[in-house]
Amino acid sequence: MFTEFLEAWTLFGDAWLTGWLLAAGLGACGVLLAARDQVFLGAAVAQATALGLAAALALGGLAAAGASETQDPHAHPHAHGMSGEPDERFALALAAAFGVGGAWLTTLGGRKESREALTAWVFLASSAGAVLLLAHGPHGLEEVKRLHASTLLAATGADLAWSALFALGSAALLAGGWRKLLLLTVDPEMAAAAGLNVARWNALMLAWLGLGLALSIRCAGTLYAFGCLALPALAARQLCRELGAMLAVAPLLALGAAGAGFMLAHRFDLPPAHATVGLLAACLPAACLARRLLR
Amino acid sequence: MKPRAPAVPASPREGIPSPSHPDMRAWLDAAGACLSLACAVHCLALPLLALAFPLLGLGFLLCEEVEWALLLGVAGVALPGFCIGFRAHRRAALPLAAAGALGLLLLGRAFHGLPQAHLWTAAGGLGLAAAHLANRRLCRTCRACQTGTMSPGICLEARDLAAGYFGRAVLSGVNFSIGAGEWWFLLGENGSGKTTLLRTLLGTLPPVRGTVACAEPAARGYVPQQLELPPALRTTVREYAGLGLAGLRLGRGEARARVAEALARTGLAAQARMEVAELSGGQRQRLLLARALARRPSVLFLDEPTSALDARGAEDLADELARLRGTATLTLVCSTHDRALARRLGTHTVRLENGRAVAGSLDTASAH
Repeated sequence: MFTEFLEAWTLFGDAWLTGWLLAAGLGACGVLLAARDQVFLGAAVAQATALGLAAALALGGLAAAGASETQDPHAHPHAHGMSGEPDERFALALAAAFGVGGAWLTTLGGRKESREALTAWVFLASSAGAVLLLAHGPHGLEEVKRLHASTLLAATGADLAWSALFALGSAALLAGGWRKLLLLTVDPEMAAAAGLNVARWNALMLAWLGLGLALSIRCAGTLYAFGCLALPALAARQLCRELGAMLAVAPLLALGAAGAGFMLAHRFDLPPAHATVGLLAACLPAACLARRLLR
Repeated sequence: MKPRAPAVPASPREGIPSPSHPDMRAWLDAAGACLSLACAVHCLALPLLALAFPLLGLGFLLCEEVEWALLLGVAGVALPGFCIGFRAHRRAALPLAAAGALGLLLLGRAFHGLPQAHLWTAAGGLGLAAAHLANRRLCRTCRACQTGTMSPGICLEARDLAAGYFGRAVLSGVNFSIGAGEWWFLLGENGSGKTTLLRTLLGTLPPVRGTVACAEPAARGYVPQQLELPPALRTTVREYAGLGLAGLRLGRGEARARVAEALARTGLAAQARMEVAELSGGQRQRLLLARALARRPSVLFLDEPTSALDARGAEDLADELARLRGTATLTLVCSTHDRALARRLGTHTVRLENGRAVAGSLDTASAH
């Protein structure tokens, strides 16, 4: 199985590397959401990002990609990658904006409505909005399906470069400011007393999450993005006794599951994103069991 | 990328670089955009960043020329950014923004031979950066006024202070100076504004009116009412105490030493590897104290430290604080309704009643 996997590297190497880098970056970011007990925020931001992509499609920003797709039914709608096409940049910009905006909306909770309620609102409004925006488009609902369940295999060299930047940026952000981020997560009041600008750090975290999810959903779909964000962090929470250890274990789990998932998908002709998320989902009960046995 | 608009014919004044030169145009664009985005990030209003992306994208979609798209994106960020940049001086923000817009129009009219989009982008970015610098300078001047007149030996001072929420004062007319090594207790009934005053003195709640001056704002420790963690979150005593070091530039060895010292001082050294969830209520309170002490603060703020403890736990914590008083030179500000704690440890009190704060000696507090 491993030899077959390596033989196919020339064909799918870029896609697999992109998937690994995204999994590692999202796995690390997910720890902060799991530490806040706000895992569902990831799903809401992912949906808001998908709404951004749907809005770009509805505005005609991807008309050219759609036209080329009619000529080649197997081509991925984002096959043009980040080659500098204004259409692609427009779609990514709008997706990032919606992601960041959705994340920001959830922070408005407190006085009149809880954060959880606003997160649910963002999730539901974005899910419905994406379908409504594209319902009457020529390839509308097909596009929505692609956003939710991509196969990852159409990732380009440019996607790979962006994913590497995201993974490196996440590593740098967490390595440089893990203690600050964790203090902000567990006790914002103490963080403010310690001289940290709580609003600025929160904004940075949410902006990074929005950008990362926009990139991931464009390359790999909502399922893969949210799966890699939430599941490794939840499994790591069961396995680790410290938050700092979770920051190392979650990306490693995501990388391992993505590696095994891609191999299984290649061997049994399955969609790689779904195989990876399936494995990650299995990691959580396994981690719970391991914790119980080790106690 | 869509083709750029054809370059404007070269300036008749040959040899003098002008913005019509393609490289110069690109530099002007880049400088303007970077300055504007840097300012937006500086005041980091997240909606501004969210606004910039779709405006840039929409610009690409509608204008089909990079420079106009960039102008749209920059203008969308720059104008609200300008107002937010001057948030500390709101009255000046709008007239200045209007003057800036008028200035841009006049600049464009004066240099009508030059490509307007590039000119406006660069000038807008520069204007925004200048606004932020001016705002920072003005704020620094304000802060200098506040701290400049602090008497020697005073480490925290409240002057004509009104504390409250959303512009509505809960307490007003607060005036006192806290000297180094003094232990002050803010006494009052529930809802009298103890926590509000403490948070204002701590700097996490902006004053409604008046000023708070702190000699060393970086050397503050804070102990909240109780330790609250999401139930599923796992962390150890050692790691949690180490979170108090956030924002300090320390080596790994130094950080470990400080955490170990703080845990030893609060009697938690034996529990260092335990999970926080396994600690009792009193131990959790001591852990909060350890987290604050790990910073080696010169001023320690405690918010009703005994309110979540039973009589025995409160007594233990008081012993802990008494020990601390004997071993360290520390200024302490504590809000509490526990008069016994104040009598045992305090040097001064502030009594909060009917929206007023009266500074007094311990005898005054005892009489009430």
